[in-house]
Amino acid sequence: MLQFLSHFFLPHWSNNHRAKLLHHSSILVLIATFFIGQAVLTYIRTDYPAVLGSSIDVSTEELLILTNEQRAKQNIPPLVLNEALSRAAAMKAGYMFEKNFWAHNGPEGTTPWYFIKKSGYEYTYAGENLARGFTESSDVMEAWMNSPTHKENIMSPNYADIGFAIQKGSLLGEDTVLIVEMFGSSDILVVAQNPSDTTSLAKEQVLPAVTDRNAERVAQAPQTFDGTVAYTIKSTSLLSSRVLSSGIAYTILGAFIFVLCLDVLIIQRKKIIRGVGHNIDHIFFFVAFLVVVLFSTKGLIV
Amino acid sequence: MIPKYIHHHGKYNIALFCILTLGVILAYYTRDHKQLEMMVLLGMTSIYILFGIMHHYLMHDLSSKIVIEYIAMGTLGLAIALFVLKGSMI
Repeated sequence: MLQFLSHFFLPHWSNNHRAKLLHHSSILVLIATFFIGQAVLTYIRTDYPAVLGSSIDVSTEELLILTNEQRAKQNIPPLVLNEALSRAAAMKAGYMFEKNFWAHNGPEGTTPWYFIKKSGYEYTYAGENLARGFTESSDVMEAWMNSPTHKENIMSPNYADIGFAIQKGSLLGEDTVLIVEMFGSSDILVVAQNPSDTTSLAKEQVLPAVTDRNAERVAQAPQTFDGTVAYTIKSTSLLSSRVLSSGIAYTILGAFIFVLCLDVLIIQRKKIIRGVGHNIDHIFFFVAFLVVVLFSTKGLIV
Repeated sequence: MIPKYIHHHGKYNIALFCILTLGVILAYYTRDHKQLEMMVLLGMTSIYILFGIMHHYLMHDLSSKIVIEYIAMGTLGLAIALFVLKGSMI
């Protein structure tokens, strides 16, 4: 067993002083395995979602509880779930899937405020947080709270109402779960109206999380869409394909980095001369890909 | 032996490190668009392969075995990235 491991992972006379894992044949087998594995996983995900798929547990109730928990820590009054704002959020989510964009403003310039007004909610203050690709409500909240502009929306005492939409669909070539959180306040007494705010509005809209103060600007009407409100998306699989694929990737990349580092140390110590590529190049390359894999499997907020 | 290696290859390694770091930054900013992110990774891999081959050529130790090694390592990186990007979709 020990001999097999050293043959596979360490430079040794049995493997011509190059770990078997780093031989062309082993790498080609791994490449083929990844491509075949991907096809197999796609097949299982499609035909047997109960076995392999996404374990998602995102709900309006939990997001509301988590939001109000954060506000309570700062003695800020809790937000009340508002049906109109939830409808606005659902319309926004549907519009994003329809137009295939990931931003606060649509490709035709449609702002979040258009959907709030369309839902019948007369607002004084309004704001929007977006998230996608998360599988747990607590992860969504954590990501928002780690972003100053999103946190500002969550913790703002100017808001009294909140609405959510959680929708599953395909966005920018990726199957994902989109979460739209809309904040609002229709109490004019809360904030004094300030007409000069329209100048700061444009500036605010380029921030990751948007807020709007008494904005009357309504962009051109988008195409019609259904404002069906989804409260919860919950699906469970025996195995999470995200956890499985990222786990395999971390293992293989980690193994290559480790074996390449060992190879450098042993070959330098034994002063063996070989006609192979530079291990440092490969280590840099695999570390770069490991970093990419690390952030690519996380959800996104805007 | 390691200081000798740094003397011979230090500048090249720094250049490769900077290019790969730039690639990682670009991949980070395009991560909301998976196809674009994959293009960035493809570009990163191409540069890594070309840089490796060019470096060995300049050092007069380029062989077909080394070319295959860089292509194989690059393809493996891309296969892993594609596997994860597809597998992490919800």
